[in-house]
Amino acid sequence: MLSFNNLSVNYGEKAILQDLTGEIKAGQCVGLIGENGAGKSTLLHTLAGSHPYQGEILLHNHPLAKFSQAKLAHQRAVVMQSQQLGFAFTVQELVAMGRYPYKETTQHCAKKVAQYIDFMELGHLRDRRATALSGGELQRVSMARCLAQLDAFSDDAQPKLMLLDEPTSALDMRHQHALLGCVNKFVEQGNAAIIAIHDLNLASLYTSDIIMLHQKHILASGRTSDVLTEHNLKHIYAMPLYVKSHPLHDAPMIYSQRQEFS
Amino acid sequence: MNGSITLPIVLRTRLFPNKWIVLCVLSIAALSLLSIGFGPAGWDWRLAIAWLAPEHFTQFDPLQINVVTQIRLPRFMLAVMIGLVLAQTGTATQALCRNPLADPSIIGISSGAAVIAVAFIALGAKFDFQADKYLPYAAFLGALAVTLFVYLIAKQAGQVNVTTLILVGVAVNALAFALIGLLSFYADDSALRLINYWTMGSLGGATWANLNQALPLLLISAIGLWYLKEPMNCLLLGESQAQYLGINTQTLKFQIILLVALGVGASVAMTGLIGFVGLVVPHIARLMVGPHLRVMMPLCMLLGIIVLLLSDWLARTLVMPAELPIGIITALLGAPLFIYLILKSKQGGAIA
Repeated sequence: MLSFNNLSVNYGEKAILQDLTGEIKAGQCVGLIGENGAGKSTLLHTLAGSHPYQGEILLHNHPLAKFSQAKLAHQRAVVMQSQQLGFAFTVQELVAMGRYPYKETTQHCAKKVAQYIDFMELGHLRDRRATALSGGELQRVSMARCLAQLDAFSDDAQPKLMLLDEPTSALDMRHQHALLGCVNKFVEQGNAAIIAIHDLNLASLYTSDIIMLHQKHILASGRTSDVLTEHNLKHIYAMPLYVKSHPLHDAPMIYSQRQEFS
Repeated sequence: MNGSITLPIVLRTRLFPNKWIVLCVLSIAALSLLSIGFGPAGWDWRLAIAWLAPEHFTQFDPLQINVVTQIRLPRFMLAVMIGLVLAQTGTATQALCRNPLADPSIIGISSGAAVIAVAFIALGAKFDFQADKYLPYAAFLGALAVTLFVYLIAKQAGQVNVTTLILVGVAVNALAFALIGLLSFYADDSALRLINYWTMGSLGGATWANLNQALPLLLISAIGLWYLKEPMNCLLLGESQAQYLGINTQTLKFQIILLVALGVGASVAMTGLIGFVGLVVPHIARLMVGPHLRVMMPLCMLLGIIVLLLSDWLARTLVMPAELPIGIITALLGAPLFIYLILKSKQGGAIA
């Protein structure tokens, strides 16, 4: 569904990503992990089509650069890192903006908006102003808007792509799991998702594949359980880490060790 | 995450705040009677309708009717258009900068237009060419030149940087007011009076002839920005987010800048600098109905008309038969209100 070959990204003179190659297929939930500054966000936003790049990105076998913004908006949606809004939109208005790419009646829009607000359990906040929401609530509103934009749970045959930049960082544990569970449900319907995420244990539980970035390059990529190894993790984080198996799931759990400063 | 999808069919949002719109339209109707009917040359609300059928209103002097049709009506039309355009360009600039405290005068567009106009007045007297004839065009070109200048500087690596935009605007403003000061130093007495008029704003120059000159520009700006309200609304979420929603943000920003320059240039050409309307009116509109432009922009336009009609009427009746610059009235009303809004936002409530 999405592939990239020899992808490089520069900010002016400075290289951010060098010579990356990879592929994301429908039905995959791909975790993007790596140390701070490894280029996770840049890769995510480049694949979403908002950065100039060298090399090749293909979406449904067509060059990404050939898509107009309007057309791309039907194919992929992005949940950005949590940020405060300077304008006091209501939750409903924010979610309704996800329907901007579609020329549709107010009733149809309202139906979709209500559906995804309910799905994200935001019903009680629907008339709340953005300035009165917590970071986590805003994050869930972004997710609801993203689902509304892709009309994530319609019977549309065309597989769609969701890109999420640190979607769980502002959430409590219950909502972290709820949000990633929702991404998994979206993926199970034949779509794909890419999640830039720091929390390795959440990544382990909810992603099918991992792209591990380290210093502008891909260090490893493949099945989550194959990539999340002690060897790889020690390499990117430069600290001792231990990988054990989860008591219930077939998923690696990562344990760190207390650091003492003397 | 339950999957229940039983919900009201209509979006229960404030899509049509009818009561505010109705209230504004009624106020505008009342204000039009006030501003056309009451003035130094005649103080009777019936004057506002007498010009439609002078034969039924024999109590009025034909001279008074003439004052209404040749002075008050064009002035009324100008106030309506300028109020609407100032409020709208203010809203658009705030969307462009994603900052509720932005305004065309902050990016330097208005003062850029004014400085060119002042240069024409001051130097026109010195070199003896008919300055007033070219004044409106000069101001408009000044606005456009400054906008493009600021825009090109703020555009780095294909992206318009909003912080740079505002900072360059601050520098342009400082430069513009220094130049205006310098020019008034060299101006003679009659030019000085004109310069004063220009920097404080006045609708006194309204005639049907120059209204016809400016009207197309003002209308293009107003209609253009009206059609951009949905994408501008998404732009308020941030530039990347707007792009991910399918908007070509570079094109959109360029359209906004062009339309704002058109509107501001034409209005500065007609009336000089009228401060605070573009800043305060959108704020009030947001306080009433929230920031969603589909709802907020129409209300904002009506409020702009109300503010200009009222301020202009006060400007020409408070010290009858003399006239105050309208910029003094809008600043006297707007500045305290603006400080109040900032204080209120500091106490935790959001201004926007």
